[in-house]
Amino acid sequence: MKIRLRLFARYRDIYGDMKELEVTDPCSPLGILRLAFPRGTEGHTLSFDETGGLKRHLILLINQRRLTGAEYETLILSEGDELALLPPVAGG
Amino acid sequence: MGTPGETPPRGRAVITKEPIEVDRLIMGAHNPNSGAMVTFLGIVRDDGILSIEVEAFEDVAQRDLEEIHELVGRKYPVHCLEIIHRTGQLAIGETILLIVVSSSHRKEAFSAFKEALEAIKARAAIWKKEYTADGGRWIKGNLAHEQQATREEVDS
Repeated sequence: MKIRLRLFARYRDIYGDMKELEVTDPCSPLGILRLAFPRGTEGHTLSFDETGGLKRHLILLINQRRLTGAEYETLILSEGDELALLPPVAGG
Repeated sequence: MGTPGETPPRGRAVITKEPIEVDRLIMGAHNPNSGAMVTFLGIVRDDGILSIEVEAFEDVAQRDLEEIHELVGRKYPVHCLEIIHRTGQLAIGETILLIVVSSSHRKEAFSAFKEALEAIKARAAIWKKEYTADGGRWIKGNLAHEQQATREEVDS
């Protein structure tokens, strides 16, 4: 199953604006991020705190819908879903 | 018009790559019943930088601005509300953001403007990068927008 990961700002500078990931097992948004940014990578440092949890200021969207914090672990992605990772916004 | 939510205000919420037509939008916000107009321009400031890049998750940012427009237009008795946010590479002195609010009285115009601006800063899917002679640096974003806050906004 292919999942697209949309990236912005600093993430885009490092990884480009889109990362395509191939997953075989059912996977949550957080699972995709762990797959995309393994330990030791810059993406991991940017995304996860010392306990391995997602940094609280990051926002995730599936198919352009903002997720609740609870959905980060519980939602199961489907073929073709687009996960977006939003670093802290700075508009205005 | 005097009651919040009675009629949606004129004006639009737009995210655009094109330069903002400031004069036209301000003139268009005039209304015979409007005794007050608040206009705000966010401008690229010369902080020793060369330029600024404004990046957006365009579809989402457009929707964010429309939601803010609707929310503010429903809450305050405003006649016209324009919210225009630029994206792309901008030089010093260029306008990043325009907000125009016209209403009968200054109090609701200022309140509506402030709420629109704060909401844009808090949640619109937009980022800014400053370029200097040494390279680029992303402007620190809104760290207060945590997962819990997102949940409350979605539920409300």
